[in-house]
Formats: sequence, C-alpha cells, structure tokens
Amino acid sequence: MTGEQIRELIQRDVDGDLSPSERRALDSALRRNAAARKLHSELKTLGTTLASVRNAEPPPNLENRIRADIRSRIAPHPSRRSWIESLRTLVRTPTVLRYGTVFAGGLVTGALLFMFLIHPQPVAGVSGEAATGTLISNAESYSVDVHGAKGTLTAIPTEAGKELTLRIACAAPTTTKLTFDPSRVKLENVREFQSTGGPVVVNEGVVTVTGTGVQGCTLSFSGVRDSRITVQVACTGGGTFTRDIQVH
Amino acid sequence: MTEQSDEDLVRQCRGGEVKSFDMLVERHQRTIFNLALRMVRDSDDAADIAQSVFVKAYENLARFDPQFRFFSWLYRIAVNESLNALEQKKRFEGLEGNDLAVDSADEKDDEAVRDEKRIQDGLMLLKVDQRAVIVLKHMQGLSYREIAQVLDLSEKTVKSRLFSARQLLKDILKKKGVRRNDRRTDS
Repeated sequence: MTGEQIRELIQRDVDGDLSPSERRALDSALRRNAAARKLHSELKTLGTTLASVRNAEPPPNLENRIRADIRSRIAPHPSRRSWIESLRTLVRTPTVLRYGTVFAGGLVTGALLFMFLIHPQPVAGVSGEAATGTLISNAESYSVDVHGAKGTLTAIPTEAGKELTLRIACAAPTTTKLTFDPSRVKLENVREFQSTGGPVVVNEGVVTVTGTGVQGCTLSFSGVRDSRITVQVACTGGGTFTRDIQVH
Repeated sequence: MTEQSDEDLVRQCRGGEVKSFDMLVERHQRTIFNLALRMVRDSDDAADIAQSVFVKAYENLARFDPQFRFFSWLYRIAVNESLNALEQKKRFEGLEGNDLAVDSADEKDDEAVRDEKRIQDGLMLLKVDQRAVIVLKHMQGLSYREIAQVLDLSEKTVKSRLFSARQLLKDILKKKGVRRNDRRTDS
C-alpha cells in the first residue's frame, strides 16, 4: 500500500467512511507504520476537537428580519407565469372552456369599466408598499399613503422597551378623526388635536403619537372620501416593529 | 401530521405560497447562520449573510434544480455570500494578514470557551477554500459528495483539500494550545 493510499484510508476513517475490509487494511498498515499511527491519532484528535465547538444561537430577530426582507421584495414571483404564457395555455384549452373563459373575462372587464369610468369611486387602500395586513419591518421607518374612508394602524416594537413614533400627516382640506387608547400611548403635539377624550379631529398638519413597550400604538382613523393620510412609523434607536394596517 | 420535506415546500413556494418559504427559513436559518459565522467569525456579519442567503434563494427559486438537495443549494449560496463578505471586508478595511495576529481568547473565559475562540481563530488562519471544506465537513457534517456539490468540485479535490486543511489546522491549534476537547453540548 502506498503512502497516499494510507493517507486516504486514514482520512476516510476519521470521517467514518471505511468498509470493513478497508478498515482491516488500515489496521494492518497502522501496525507496521509509526508515522501513519501518529497522523491517524492527530487527525482523530482534530476531529474530536472540532466536534466540540458548539453551534451559536442566531440573533433572536433574524428570522423576522429575513421574512420582512422577503415580503418587501414580493413583486410577482419570478416563477409565476407571464400573461403571454397564460394566453398560450388558453388557446390550447377545449373550445367550450375557451369561450367560457373569454365570456367571464369580458364580464369582469365590463364591471371594471363601469366602476372606474362610468361610475368612479375612490379606491380604498394604501400605496407605497405591497399590501395591507401584518408586516414585520426591519426598516427604521416607513411611510404610507392611505386613501379611503376608514381604517386602523397598529405598530408594535419587536423588542420590549423600544419607543415607537407614529406621525400622521393629513393633507388639507381633509378632515380626519383619529381614535387611540390614551392609557397606552404618550401623546405629543396634543395642541393639534381638537379634543383629548374619545375620537379627535385633525383638520390638517402633523400629529405625533409615541408608544413605548410591547403594546405599541394602535390608531383608528376615519376621513372623508378620498382622504389622503400619510403615516410614518419609526422606532427610535433603530429597532424593528410590526405594523398592521387595514383600510376599508 | 408528517413534516413536509424541503422539496415539497420549495414546490409550494414556486406555486406562489410564500408561507412555505417561511418554513424553510425557520428550518435552516440556524444552520446557515452558523455556517456563515464559522466562515467570517463576526456574528453581525453572519446574520447579514444569512439574511442575504435566504433572500437570494427566494429570488432565484425558479432556477433551483430539484435533482439536488435544497440544503446543498442553500449551503452553496451561503459559502458564496461568505466569500463575498470577506472579500468586501478585505477591500474596505485592508484586513489581509490581520487575522494572523488575532487571539480572541480571554483570560476571563473558562477553558472550553477559550478553546472555542482559539479554534475559530485557527479557522480564520486557513485560506477561505480550506476553511470552507473544514466547516462543511466538521461543523455541518456533510459527506464528501455533498461538499463536492456545494463547492462545485470533484470528490477527489474535496478529499485532497480537506487533507491539507486538516494538516494545517492541527498544527495551528497545537501552537495555539488548544487541548483535546471531548465535550459536545450542542443544543
């Protein structure tokens, strides 16, 4: 057996990769060769030493950071089919299904034309991000324009003790009512509110609401149709937060 | 309920189920973080790398070849991202050679912690391609074949690189005074 063959058997033994016959061949070589015995012992020791290294715990917010990053990039998924491919599939489908699909598509198009051109209505929703619903943000701040009659925004720091600031800017001449639980938030710039109990009315300007702790800030708002409210959320000290926004 | 395989979750995610990818993140984030940590040593950098690995995996899921194991593909991205991070760090901070002087073991640490730090210091003295095979073999427990897939090498090259990396590391650890350590308390 050559030196190179012995070295390979030693390494594979350290990695638990030897067959019984290879094992016997290695044992025999080790009995005859002191240098091979030394190498075998040293590599075994190295394996044991490296195996003693414990896995470290990742930062507790890593999983949330990853999810938030992925959510923020969710445009149409690259694996989703393009509309051209969808059309090709449609052409290959049986005639009845094909005409049925075209008819249904026509109905939907007609309904959309009626909604937007013949009978225009303001569309409730948010712009500046993918969708309403819960999002864990790893940005230090974010802002969103809200269009619509009413909705709620909840922002909660992901770490206890972090302070969160909500700034709500209402575009004139919108009148917007903001509802919040004063026992859970600290208010700043209260001069800009027209009342301090129950719903408050903001005609225009900027209102800042600060919440501390795991409960964060919850804010309900309602405005006139097509009101535009810009909401900015920032966690002081660069923390992360979750936000849930619902607009109706 | 039977746990879904990585491959099932990948299939669902390709069909638009983002939540399936969340499960893959949950399942592999610790391993990927640790792989990056052993490659770059710094915990913050390792977390950034892990984040970048999963984002890249998500964005390139359509290109994933299902004939390979998902985790092998993930490891491959992680090794590449770690190499990129090290390269960037070297470029911006001129760190080349600095690691030679590092001894992060602290007198206040107990012996096991000191040994772990010295082992990590020792790893940083290896060339990155040698470090990668050691980390994948000893800390991630991959087979020669899996390492070959992750690093896009032949099994023969993996064995030879592993042998030279081990020879070098055992000498480094001997110089650093790392004692044989049989404690394995991996949680």
